[in-house]
Amino acid sequence: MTAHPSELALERGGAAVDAHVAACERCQARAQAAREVTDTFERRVLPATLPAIRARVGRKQVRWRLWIGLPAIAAVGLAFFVGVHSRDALDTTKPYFGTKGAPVLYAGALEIVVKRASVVKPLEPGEKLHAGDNLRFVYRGERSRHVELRIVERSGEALLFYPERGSAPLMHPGEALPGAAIVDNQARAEELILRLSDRPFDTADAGAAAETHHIRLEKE
Amino acid sequence: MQDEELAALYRRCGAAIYRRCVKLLGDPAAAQDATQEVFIRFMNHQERLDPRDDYLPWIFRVATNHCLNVLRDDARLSLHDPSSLPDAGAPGEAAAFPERDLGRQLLRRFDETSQAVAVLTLVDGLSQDEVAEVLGTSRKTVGKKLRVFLERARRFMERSS
Repeated sequence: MTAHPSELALERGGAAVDAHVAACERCQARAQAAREVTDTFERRVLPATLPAIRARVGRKQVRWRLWIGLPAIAAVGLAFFVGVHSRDALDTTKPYFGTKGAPVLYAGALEIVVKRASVVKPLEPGEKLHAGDNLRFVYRGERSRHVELRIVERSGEALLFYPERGSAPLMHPGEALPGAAIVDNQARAEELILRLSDRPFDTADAGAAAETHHIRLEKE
Repeated sequence: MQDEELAALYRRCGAAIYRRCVKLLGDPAAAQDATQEVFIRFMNHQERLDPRDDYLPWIFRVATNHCLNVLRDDARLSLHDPSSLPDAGAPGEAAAFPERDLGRQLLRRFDETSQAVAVLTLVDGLSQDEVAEVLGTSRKTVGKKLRVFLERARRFMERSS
């Protein structure tokens, strides 16, 4: 018989661990104990503590005026960009936003702001992204328009960044798109797809937007 | 994050955290409190975790450190027989270490990383490679800290007895 799996190995499972457990009474007891603790968590701990968890997570969201961001993308294991909420994510209340000279615009309507370490700055034309860069997007069209932004993942699928679903919201010049994206370390350029329209359109209808822009961002 | 997504994440990761906390604290009420604290920390650090990665090493590290802080004034951990554990050091060295409670006075003699190394190895039976993965350090560092822990713990136990 193989050595008893560690607690970590038991948590991870797998064919070798399963084979050992099937032949080992001691480890069967360990696995059964773990199942009982899991059952207790689901029956008693989860319902008792989830409201407090929700409240605490919600307070943080309000406090930092941030969004969780990209849950749909995270849910499918996005290959290159991961949008997440963070106290460290870019804060649109910081002086940079809307206070400095003419912003650099992508597709004539989108400003990209990058936070790298503690430095927050606009992404300059031709400037390359670094792994770990935290990106925010600001709509800076000449007039209010309905906006949709997608990120093309490694598989080639263009996943919605904003909005998460439904109809493309009306955005006003200077408004930051909710959510942030973090650049991964995959060695390939990133591509954004920006769709704009004066009229509301459904994100499920790819041809509904009046304008579609492809934005390519190079990486180091 | 939507409510249902948060609930799903809590159901998945919270269960693993709770199992870890029950294992180390042995007290369901204390484990329930610890689970919430560790999960909130998980949410705060989520942006630094790659969703493609296995969260278990992170959960093991943070939950272990949190529980060790909770246990600082307690002594509820017990050691396996070190000679039966993988990579526990030289056979003679490990076998000479008595099986008994890891008490407050003993744990306090070590830094946080050494405490975690000892618990992960001697309580949870992790190999040194697994401990290195969980703590984000090298196997060499784990081995060194474990040797120092065993030597100093043995001396401590000898003096205590």
